[in-house]
Amino acid sequence: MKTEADYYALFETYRAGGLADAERTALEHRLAADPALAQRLREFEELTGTLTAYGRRQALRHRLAAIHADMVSERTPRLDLAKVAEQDERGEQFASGQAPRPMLRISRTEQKLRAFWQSHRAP
Amino acid sequence: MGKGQPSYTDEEFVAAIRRDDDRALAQLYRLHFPMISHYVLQNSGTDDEAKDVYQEGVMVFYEKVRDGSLELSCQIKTYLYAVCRRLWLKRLAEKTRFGGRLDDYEPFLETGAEADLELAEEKERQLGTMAQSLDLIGEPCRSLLEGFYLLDKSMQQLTDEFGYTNADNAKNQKYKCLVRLKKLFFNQYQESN
Repeated sequence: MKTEADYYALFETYRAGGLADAERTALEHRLAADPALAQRLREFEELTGTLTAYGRRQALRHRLAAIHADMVSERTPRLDLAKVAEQDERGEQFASGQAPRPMLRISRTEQKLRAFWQSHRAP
Repeated sequence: MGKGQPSYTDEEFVAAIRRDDDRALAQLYRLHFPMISHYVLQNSGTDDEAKDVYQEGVMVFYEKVRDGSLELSCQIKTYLYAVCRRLWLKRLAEKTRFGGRLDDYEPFLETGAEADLELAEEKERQLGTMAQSLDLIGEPCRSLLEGFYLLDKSMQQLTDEFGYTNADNAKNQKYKCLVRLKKLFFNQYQESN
């Protein structure tokens, strides 16, 4: 008696076009006559199809992550650490105004509050 | 477009992605990211959330192009905007039970993205269930199935890697693993329905 794993081996060979003509015709007749076997084949196809689609999705995720990382690294100016250390030693960094300035994202509410307090600051 | 890269029209993008052209995908990604990033940041999102939403949107577009089911009735830009807008609304709703108004800078057009997203969400659920099932199946089944179905390794390569005496033994093990995976996958998939 065939096990489920035996059927999977048969289905894989069938789908890969590896059955001899007589075997393929016999299987197709059985599939037409046996709904349980046809259902088993559909489940096999759904399972292996989903596995393959999962693999493609993972590969696409990695590609997009790599594209994004490239894009971000091109946008971010590289800090020349050797130059900064040299300037630091000479005490030039802050004097020349070249110190990296932190970029803060400030919410609109925060901006309004700052503007409000700016205009109400005691002289 | 910079960096000496060719610029593509929408039709050329679709044709290039259909033949799996990496440069076109990278260029498309770079072209529309600022629009989606701006939109998400304007609507209570972070940089990371903008990246996640955009990548999901690009995946929906890419997979529709690749399987030949994309019916583009608008510009790619508008399609991506509609998909990402919907994805971001869904995320906001999950995150904060958001019921407010989104700060749109383009009128929301009928793009067919709604129907595409429903199919994409179903596919996402199916692939999520597959990921869980692979997590549960244990070794060596996980590596064997991933090797064959995800990494396209041959049975001979897997036989050598896993130390099976011959390719037939490795194949038999693979079929047994598939039977185990089937039980896990369909049980979980039905539970999530």
